[in-house]
Amino acid sequence: MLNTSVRRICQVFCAALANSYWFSLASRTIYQGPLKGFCIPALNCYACPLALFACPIGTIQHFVGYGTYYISLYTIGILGIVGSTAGRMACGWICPFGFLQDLLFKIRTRKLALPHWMTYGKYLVLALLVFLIPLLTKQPWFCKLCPAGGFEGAIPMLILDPLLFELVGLLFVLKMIIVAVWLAAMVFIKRPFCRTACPLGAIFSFFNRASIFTLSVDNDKCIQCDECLRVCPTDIKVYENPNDADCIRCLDCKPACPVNAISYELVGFPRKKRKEAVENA
Amino acid sequence: MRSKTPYILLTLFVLLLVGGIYLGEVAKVLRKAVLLCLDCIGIG
Repeated sequence: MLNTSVRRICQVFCAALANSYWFSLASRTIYQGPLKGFCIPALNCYACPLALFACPIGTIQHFVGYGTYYISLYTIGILGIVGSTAGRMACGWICPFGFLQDLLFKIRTRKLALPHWMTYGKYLVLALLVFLIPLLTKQPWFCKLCPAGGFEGAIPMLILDPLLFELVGLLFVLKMIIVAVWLAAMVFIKRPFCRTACPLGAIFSFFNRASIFTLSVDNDKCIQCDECLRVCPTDIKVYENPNDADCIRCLDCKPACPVNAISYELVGFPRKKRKEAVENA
Repeated sequence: MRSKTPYILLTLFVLLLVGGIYLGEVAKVLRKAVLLCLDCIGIG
């Protein structure tokens, strides 16, 4: 419970920090200062009038389409540093769009489970919409279809500048349908976008098994009561695979475990060994 | 080997980040990010 509260505070703080250019309400333009040169390791549209930082997925597509060597070493470097340190932890603690999904799922209604095969969709989105199609068409197709961009960018920009309504066309209608479908799905399914379509989550998921921060389960203690599954925001049975590609490292499972079987460690510095070292000393 | 992999990856990505900064990518990202691409958000 304490962990969840701390995480909520962190999510609120990060969402507020990433979207704190309130001057845009008066200027009706997006932030154009130096912070926009930094890619935040989260899905946060940089066309949002309040956004302070660049979106890594938008940046990757831009380099794929227009870069001289097709890939942004800078952006991949930032994502790789975050991923190899903590895996998908940024999804659970930093990402404003992940936070929105957590909030909408709190609406009391009938809940649905997501078929596991759908979780592979995010890799398809990453390969096709972020790399292949932008490379061939020189257009950022993930951005054009991104629900975060529709929700955080398109709608606020239209509210700020009603003259833009004259430019609204079929693509905008399609984008709003996509936004509506995803928002509805978030009410019924745990983090549907993160698990099935987020290319940033797909990139971070490659690191879950090879990050410095990892989770582990003591199988001798575990009674497979599925309490971890109940509290997990991505429906993972932690005892089957504590470093599953969909684990967003929220750590809600650790305090929920009735037999304290779940622990986390820094690779190379196992917790038990450190404890033993302290006891021996 | 398992215990070294994350640190090798971390070093590799730090080098990529430094390489990107050295190649002037921060300025390129900034130039792109300060322009509002209406087409990218479905308007226009």
